[in-house]
Formats: sequence, C-alpha cells, structure tokens
Amino acid sequence: MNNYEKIGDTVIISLPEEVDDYRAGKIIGDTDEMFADKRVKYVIFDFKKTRFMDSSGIGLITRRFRDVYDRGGSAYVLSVNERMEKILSMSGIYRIVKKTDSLEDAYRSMHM
Amino acid sequence: MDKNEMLIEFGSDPKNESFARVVVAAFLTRTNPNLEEVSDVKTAVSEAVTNSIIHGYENGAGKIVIHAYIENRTLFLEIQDFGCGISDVRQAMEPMYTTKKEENRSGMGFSFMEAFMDELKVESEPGKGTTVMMKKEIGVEREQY
Repeated sequence: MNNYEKIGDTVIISLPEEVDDYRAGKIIGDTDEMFADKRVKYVIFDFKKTRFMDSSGIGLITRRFRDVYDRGGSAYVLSVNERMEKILSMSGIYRIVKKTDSLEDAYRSMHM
Repeated sequence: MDKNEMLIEFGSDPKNESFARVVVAAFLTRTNPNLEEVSDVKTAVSEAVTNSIIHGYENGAGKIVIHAYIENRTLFLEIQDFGCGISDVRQAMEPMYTTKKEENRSGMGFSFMEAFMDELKVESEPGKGTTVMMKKEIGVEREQY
C-alpha cells in the first residue's frame, strides 16, 4: 500500500490516501532501515494519492528532514493538492522543505 | 437525546482515528457542508482523538467518547477521554509544544484544531481525563489561510 523507493542517495516516500498518527507511525517504522544508511541525503514526499493528513504527517516529515539535514541533505514535497497545501503551509513546514512540481525538478534542485 | 445529536464511544486503538473522523463527517452531512468544511472537521477530530490515544492513555487501553450535536448549521463537538489529563493546558496548547519530541510528534495538534474550527476549549484534570470542545459553523464564507 505504501511505497518507498531508494535510489542512490534519495528516498522517495509515496504517501497513502490518508496520513494520520496510525499511518505516519507505520511509515516511520517501515523506512527506518532506509534512513539508517548514512548515504541517504535526500527525501521526497510524494502526495499524489493523499487527500487527508493531520499534524502526525508534519511529525513524519520533520523526522525524516532531520535525518537528511544532519548529513547535509534536503527534503522535498511533490504533487501537493489544494488541501495538502493548506495543511503544509499552515504548519510552517515550508521553512524546512521545498515544494516541487516533478521528480525532475526535485533532482535538479538537489544537485544545484 | 436531542434529534440532532450523536454519541459514540470506542477504544483507544490508533485504527479508530479514521473510524472517528469518518463517523463525524457522516453526521455532518445533514448541514450540507462543502468538501473543505468536511476536511477541516475531520482534521480536528483526528487531532483530538490522537491526543487521547497517545497522551491521555499513553497508547494503553481506554475509552474515548465523542458527543456531537448540530444547532441550525453549527456543529458542536466534544471529544473526551478518561486518561492522565493535562496539568498545564495553556502550555500544552502552545504551538510546537510537545512532551514527546523523541516520538516524532509535531506539537501542532491543538494549533490545527484551533485553525480548522471556529472555537476550541479544553478542560482537563490530571488523573481524571480531558475534554476538548469545539464548534464550527457550516456554510459561512471564510478567509483563506
């Protein structure tokens, strides 16, 4: 159901339709191993499928941001719809993650 | 019980977070809300129920009660637990304040409830539990965030 993909120094997390405390906890647990790899410097959260998220999702993003930031990396959000935009901008998370329109954009921004 | 009233109780299983917000969203349909209003209410319910589960009951077993009623087109919501309670409600409501930083908590639960509902009131007694009271009028023009 959840999709995680590790490509070199980047982990892409395709978020589920609903991200609440239960789901966020599962995603953190499922990706612990990937982020234990010190080479991982970038994380991309893909919101394509997501229609609901509460503050647990902000906790999830912040957690993975901290992992990559400590290694000099950065975090991105992708395919943000109107509702998710409301949640993300209200939370202030854009102070630490960048919004991109496509994977290509995110990759370009990483290697600038 | 009044005609426009609902009362449910359920156990503090994290899987019930989605159950709770779907029930309240279904109850709300009689006010003919738009999608955004439904999402706002669902988010607020999710935050309050999550607080009860992870803070009130510290992930242990316990009962959560949701009492809701509608007057005209205003939703009144009470979400109650009988857990450990909050000793300093004002501090708990400060944005980014969390007692569980190591568990990846954002500390934004109450801020989200405040932002998505018209009114928020929290009553808590250590050792007895916490009740979150919220209100939202449906069908009013709102300023965008």
